Amino acid sequence: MFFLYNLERRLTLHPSYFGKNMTELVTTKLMKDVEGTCTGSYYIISVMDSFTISEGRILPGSGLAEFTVGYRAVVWRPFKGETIDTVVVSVNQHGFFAEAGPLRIFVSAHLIPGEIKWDPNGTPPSFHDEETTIQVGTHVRVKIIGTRAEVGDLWAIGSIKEDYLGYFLPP
Amino acid sequence: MLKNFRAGDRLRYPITISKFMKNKGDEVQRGEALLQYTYKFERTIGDPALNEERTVEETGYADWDCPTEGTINKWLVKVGDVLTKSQLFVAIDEPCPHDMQYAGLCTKCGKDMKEITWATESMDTDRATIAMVHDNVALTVSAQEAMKAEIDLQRRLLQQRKLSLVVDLDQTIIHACIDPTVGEWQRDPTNPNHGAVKDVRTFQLDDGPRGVTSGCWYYIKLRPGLVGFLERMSEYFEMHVYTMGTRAYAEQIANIVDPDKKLFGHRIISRDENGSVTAKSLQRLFPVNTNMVIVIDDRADVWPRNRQNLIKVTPYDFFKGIGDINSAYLPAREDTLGAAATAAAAPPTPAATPTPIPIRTNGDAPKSPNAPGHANKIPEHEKAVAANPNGVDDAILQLQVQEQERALEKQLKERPLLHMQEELDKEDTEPDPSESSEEGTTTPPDSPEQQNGHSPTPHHRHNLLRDDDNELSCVEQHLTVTHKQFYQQYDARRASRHRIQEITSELIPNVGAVLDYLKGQVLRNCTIVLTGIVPQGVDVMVSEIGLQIMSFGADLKRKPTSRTTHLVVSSARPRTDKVRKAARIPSIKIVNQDWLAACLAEWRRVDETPYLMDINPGDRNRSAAADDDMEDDEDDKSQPKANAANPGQQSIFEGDESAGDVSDDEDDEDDEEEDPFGVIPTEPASPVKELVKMDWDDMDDELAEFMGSDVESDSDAESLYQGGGGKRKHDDLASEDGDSAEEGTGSTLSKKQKLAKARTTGLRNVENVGENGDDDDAADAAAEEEEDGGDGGDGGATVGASQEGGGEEEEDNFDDDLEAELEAEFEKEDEKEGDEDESMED
Repeated sequence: MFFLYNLERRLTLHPSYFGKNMTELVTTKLMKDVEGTCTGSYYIISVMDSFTISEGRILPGSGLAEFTVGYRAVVWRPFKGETIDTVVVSVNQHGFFAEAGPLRIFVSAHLIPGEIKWDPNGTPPSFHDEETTIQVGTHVRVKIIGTRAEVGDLWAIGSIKEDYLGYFLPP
Repeated sequence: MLKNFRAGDRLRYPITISKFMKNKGDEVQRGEALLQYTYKFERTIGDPALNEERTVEETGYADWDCPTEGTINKWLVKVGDVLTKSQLFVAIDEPCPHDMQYAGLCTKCGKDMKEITWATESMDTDRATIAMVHDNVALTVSAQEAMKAEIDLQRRLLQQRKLSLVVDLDQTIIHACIDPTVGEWQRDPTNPNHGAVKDVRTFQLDDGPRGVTSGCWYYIKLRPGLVGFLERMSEYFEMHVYTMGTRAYAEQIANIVDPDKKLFGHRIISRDENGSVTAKSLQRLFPVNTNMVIVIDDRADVWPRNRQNLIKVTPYDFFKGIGDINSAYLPAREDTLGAAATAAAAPPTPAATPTPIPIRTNGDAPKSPNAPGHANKIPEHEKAVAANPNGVDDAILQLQVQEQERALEKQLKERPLLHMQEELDKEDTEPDPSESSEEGTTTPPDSPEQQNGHSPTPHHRHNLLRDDDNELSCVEQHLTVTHKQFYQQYDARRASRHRIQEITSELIPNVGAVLDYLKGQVLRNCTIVLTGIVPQGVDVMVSEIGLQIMSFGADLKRKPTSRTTHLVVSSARPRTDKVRKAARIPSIKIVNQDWLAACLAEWRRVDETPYLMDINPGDRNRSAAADDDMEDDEDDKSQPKANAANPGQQSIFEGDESAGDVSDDEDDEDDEEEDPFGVIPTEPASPVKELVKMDWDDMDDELAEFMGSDVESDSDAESLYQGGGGKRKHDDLASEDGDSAEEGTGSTLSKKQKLAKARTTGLRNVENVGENGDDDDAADAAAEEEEDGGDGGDGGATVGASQEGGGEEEEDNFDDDLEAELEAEFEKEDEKEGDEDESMED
């Protein structure tokens, strides 16, 4: 699920950048630093704007200036029970991996409906039933049934063993 | 899913079960108290100041908390039981066995497996520890699940009558390099290498921060016949790629080799998912059993656990001196047979194409030791490049990456291929003796394969790169045979118990055993000694090549003995101690390493004749009798070939002796004759004794043949006689001013050796006549007679004389000769000998 989230971050700036466009520099640096990262429980997708930039404080010893920046960002946090649209990236006999943006979700064969069978002889091997084939590149609607987070990374387990889940035509 | 839980090691044993708080059928949560128990412990009470301290035994009460959630199926203990150590405690029916996990999450229930509480005795992640999918290490399964998956796989393969084939990339089915020279040659049709490189495939790879090498072009040469090979093999095998390159690299190569993903599908495993940075393991893909898996790889040492399943192929070395671009990730190559072979190799040696195209190898093999002039230059470049990726033995990936980096950068900057071609061109423009001999070897008149490599250029430049590899056809044959054998065994086993439809593991033969059997037949009954092939300080028994020889059923020994059948000599060092020793033993065939390479590549005992080493005449004289005995023993299959090849062989020998480098021969020879003086007294096998073993009947035949036949070509015989006996004449001259009065033991022995040597060519003919007499081949016989005519004069006479037991005249002559020779040559030999010994001794 996406959120607009108010966050704060401390940034340092090298003395050689001190000048009139410092604000701009700080904002740029902020975007470079935080966009696309994972904090552990959510991904920071995009910085909307930075609304407060504190006065710079020279760090004793190094001469770097430290700013505390308050900013608003679009973040994405996958929840257990959430349904998301994904693209299959890898298929094996135990299930398949699907990606939703930065998040990689594994859907095991147990959580794939019984009629969708693993066919190891296909080229390439895939899960399929009469109508649908799940192979690399297929768009799949997945329900997240569990997530785990470590610093800088998130993993999720998904299921397509419910109504309205599984193969879907991309819009 | 029922699971039994143990009481755990952290309790204060002995404990007494006092009360169950949950009973059978109750639902329990993790951390919930299931039972109460009591334990005894000692406590110190009293006031230490008053010295009233004493210990009392007290009883503690504690709960045992549930390590998991589920339903209690059964208590495995009773109230009142006293437990002295951890034991099975309770069986709990769990809703989810957590037997497949992805990055610490159960893939079935989505629970976090890394959660630890006070109640958990063991980690939940231990329930699934086996990573068995190709492209992800985070996905793990339990042993049970792995077994199930594998049985499914085996059943499917058996139905399709297939096996699994694991294929290595670098130097097995392709050869890659990043030397930009290749690109330039590709664009330049006038370059002599253009023909060879025009179908080289390229791609750009940017896998990670690489500095100079980032985004550079990779040049990929497919091994000749690869497409057809894979196509045909895919009918018999389900194929996997297993490489030590990065994932991105592996996928690029797979795109080239298999653009439709029909052959490999997504069954690609690379270094990124391997788990180990130094070794490959089949257990990574087939954790339970490898009964139906064959590996083809150019390196055996990276498969420490799976040698049985391995078919080792000759490394594909198209871009000379580049080696394996991913070899920094592997332990240093110690596969010395390959190295020795390339060391001896001007590009078209038999080693480069171990499958003998008969005409070529016949011409090349005996010459390869004679034409090292060019060959010596390449290894230097090779060393410069190869030394870099090698030598890394510790498994620290970081180091390896740096190493790889450096090797690649070096290749980009130094352009070894360009250097080598320049070198080659230089040799072409400077006509020198080594060039002429090189000419002889590189362009034998009739070798269509090589002509393909040449592109016609006005000033005939030699091309460095050759597209003449034939290994895949051998491998294909081996694979097909193995597949056939496997399914024969399988069918036999099935037929024997036709009632059972279920496929059980006993029904499936072990393809490793099949391979072992097939390989073991190749060099069975051979006893092999190596010399000059394994570097000093390496135990031959555990060396790569040694292990390989033994896996082919041969008996590997350290020293040549009478039981030895083959001595494999490095053509770079043809005169070691072992060679001299072996030359004296009749039954040993002395061959160069290419014979061994050919046997190992073709899986059959290749006919030794084209590979026989040119034994130095000095060593040979004592082995004259040996050759005959040996060739009598030759098995029937190789007989015709041997006959066909022998005349050529002999003409080479004759040529050598009559070529006029008599003085050279004598240098070596005297060197040799002086050397044995120390040895001979302790040496029981004197040449005369070998006469006892000789086939006198054969000799009689020969004599009869000789006497009976007309010596038609007198002039030929005469000239040959002069040629062959040139040395003798020389000796005669020397003897005139020599002192012939001395008679010592040493000289007698030498004389006898001399005697034996004089017979050398004669005896070889004896054997040939004997053979030819059988099949009455007129042409052959005529050829033989001509040669006989040359040597018959002394050879026949000598045999006759010694047969009578006397031969006084002859002996006297030889005595004189020898003494004179010794006198004359002694001083000048002294210095030379020193040098020679240093260079020749092991």
